[in-house]
Amino acid sequence: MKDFPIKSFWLLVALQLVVLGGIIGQRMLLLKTGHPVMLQCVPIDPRSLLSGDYVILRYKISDLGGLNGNKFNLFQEKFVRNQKVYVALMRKAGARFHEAVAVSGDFARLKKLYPLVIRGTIVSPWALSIRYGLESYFVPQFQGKAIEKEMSNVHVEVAVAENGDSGLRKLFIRGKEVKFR
Amino acid sequence: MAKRQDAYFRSLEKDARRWVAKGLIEEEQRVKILSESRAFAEGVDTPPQVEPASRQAATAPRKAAKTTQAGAPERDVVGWLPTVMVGIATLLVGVGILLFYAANWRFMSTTLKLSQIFLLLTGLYGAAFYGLAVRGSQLFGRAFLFLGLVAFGAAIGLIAQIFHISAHPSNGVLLWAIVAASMSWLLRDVASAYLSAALLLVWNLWEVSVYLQPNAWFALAIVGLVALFVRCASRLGLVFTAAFSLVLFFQLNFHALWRIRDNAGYSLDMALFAGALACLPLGLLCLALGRFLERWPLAAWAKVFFGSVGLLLLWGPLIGVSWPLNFSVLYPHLTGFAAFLIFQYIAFLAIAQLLSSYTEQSTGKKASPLFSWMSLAAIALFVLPLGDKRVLLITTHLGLLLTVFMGLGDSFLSLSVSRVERSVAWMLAIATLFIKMFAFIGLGIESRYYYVAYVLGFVMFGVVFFLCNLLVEHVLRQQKRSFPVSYLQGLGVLLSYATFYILSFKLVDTQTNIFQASYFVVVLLVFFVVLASALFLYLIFQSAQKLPVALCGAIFLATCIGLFASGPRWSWVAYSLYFNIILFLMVALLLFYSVKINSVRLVYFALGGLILQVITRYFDVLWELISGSLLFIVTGLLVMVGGYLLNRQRRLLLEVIEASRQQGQAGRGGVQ
Repeated sequence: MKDFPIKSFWLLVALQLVVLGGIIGQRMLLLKTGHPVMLQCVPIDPRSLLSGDYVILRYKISDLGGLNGNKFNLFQEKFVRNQKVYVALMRKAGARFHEAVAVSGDFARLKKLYPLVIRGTIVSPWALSIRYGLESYFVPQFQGKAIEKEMSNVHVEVAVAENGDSGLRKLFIRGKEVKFR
Repeated sequence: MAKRQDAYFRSLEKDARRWVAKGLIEEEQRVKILSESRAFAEGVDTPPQVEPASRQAATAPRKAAKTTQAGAPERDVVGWLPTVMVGIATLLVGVGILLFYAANWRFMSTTLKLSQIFLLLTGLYGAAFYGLAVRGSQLFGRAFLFLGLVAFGAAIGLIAQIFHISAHPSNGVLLWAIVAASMSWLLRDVASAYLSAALLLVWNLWEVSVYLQPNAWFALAIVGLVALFVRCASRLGLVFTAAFSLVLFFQLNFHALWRIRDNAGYSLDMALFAGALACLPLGLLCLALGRFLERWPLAAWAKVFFGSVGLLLLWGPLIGVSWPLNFSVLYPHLTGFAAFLIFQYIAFLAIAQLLSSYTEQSTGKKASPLFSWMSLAAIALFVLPLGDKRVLLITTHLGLLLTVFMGLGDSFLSLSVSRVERSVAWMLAIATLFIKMFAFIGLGIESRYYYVAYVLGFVMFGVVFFLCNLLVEHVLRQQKRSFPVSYLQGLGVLLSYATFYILSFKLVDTQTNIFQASYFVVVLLVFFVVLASALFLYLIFQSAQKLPVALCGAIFLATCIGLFASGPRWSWVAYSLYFNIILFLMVALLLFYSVKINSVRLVYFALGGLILQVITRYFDVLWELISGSLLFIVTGLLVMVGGYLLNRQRRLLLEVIEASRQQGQAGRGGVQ
């Protein structure tokens, strides 16, 4: 191919590597510098637990609606599906896990009141159900059963950045970190 | 063989002259093509398969692109075998690598995993570079390029897995699609373009179905794909993009209608009705696009796609809403329309008109009658009070007849219409007859007291259908075009016969007179009568085929009598007699007509109908009167006598037809 665009080709390849490197770098930085938050998992319908080689996780902070909905919705906002929202997290003195205390679409307003804020997306406005991007934990094939059985004793350590970005750092069963080898 | 070659060269010379006249090729090229073809034929016994002009022009840019890709004239690849082998080998290697990694992945450290991802990507792209730029091997170079792109997608997934990222995974698919599209654009690689198109469709469906985010901005992806497939000279890709654009249209409209139902409290019926009508301007836009794309050989398949889908999109809504639907408001379509749908209706209609006018001006070809008339129909349907059943039924039936017969006529009138489009036109005509027949009979059974009225209503529709078919033939004959009128004629007669046959059984109960029925039913039937009468008058005076028109008129009159005169006073005996008389009348008219047109096939068809009727009535009457064994003996004797008489009659008829044919041939011979 005489007129092969050598420069453009390698530029495009390099761009792909840079994009992938960017994703990796951003994640590593987040996990290294993010504020550690401990979240307790809640049991969910076992039929939807395993999907391929990952475990679906659900947290106490995943559903803020129902009877307590107004308690969290400090500024009485109206949420819509797929809206980006921020949830303020706090750990009571002596407690092990962080819990949700407030939810809002206004990051700056919430951040003024609470130092630790995590970003999520509204899945259901009525139930105030929120997705954080922390709902999948990838495991080696067929090894998710152990986590499935112990779901009420599972908790995770999450890294939360100043801007609300978050990433899964560690997974624990009965207080012991799970490492697949 | 030499004779075949001569014929081939005569045809080629004729075509080449036409191509020069059309400006497709220069005179110099014409001479070259002819001399090259003759030289080739002298070396090879069989003449080369020459593609039609449009196909040649369509493949030319693709071939040119391939040549530039190689940077030198492409090597002769012996058949498709190496391509298939390399394809399978690439697939096997890919699957092997994936299996190996799946088995060993978890034992590796994160750093090792990430390094391998980068190494794999660089290696595959390096191999692609070596194949394409250094060795000039298109096949292997492009195979590695494709593997590189697949590896990029896998890399996104693996990184997400390593870091347990699960937020909005469809974004990863979009990123992958953009990279594949960029690579395809840069190297004019068709396989990467297909990959990109497939990924964009997955991304779109994921966003809409999982995250419920339909959005008009997805149209940007379609614009990008059009540009990509034009650059890669892919006709199939353009068809895919055309289909993708329709998927997007239905996504947006479905979403809009769903919201209307959810928020405004309108009934689902109204929303669906509005949605069905929204397809009309899209159908017109598709037809206009089809015409617009005619001039670009690269878009030849997309043109066929739009032409066929356009016809379907006009027909579908009309047959869907041409029933007595119940609405509480006069303008269910406008009430049910959201602002978005109203804007879309007007915008699509306007764009279709502009596009059609532009095509008319730039090519000098007039818009098809189907397009012009259906544009008027789309405007009328938008402003008329369709909540009134009379208006709804009359306009939709009129629109339906226009679509079916103008579509059919257009497919024989226009030279640019493909076989696919013509097949769609036939299919729609046949489907209309069957759908209407089953629906009318179903409605009749449901209403019980108007059973006869509904079923005869279908016969009325069938008569109008039959006459419209003759009208198309008449118009095309005036334009010096042939039209196979007998297909729909035959089907119409067959279905009418079947309808009368069903009615001739002792199923008909006490019936209510049609004038007692709802006002809109009477209005629709009167509309059919008026339409049929107008067609009769026109065809009797203008058409060359006066006999079938007159025979059809006889059946029509008989049907009208039954339809308007039947009522509670008629017992089942009266109905039975009436329908049996009509069946005999039909057979007699068919036999008469078969002799007139010298059709042996029609003789057999008519005799078959007669036998069926006689046997049915025989068993109807005698089943309860004569005991088992005696019934069979009497039946056997009667069949023998009847068979003898029938055979004698059949021979007589065939002799008359044969004599008439010979006379005709002799007459023609004399003239010659």
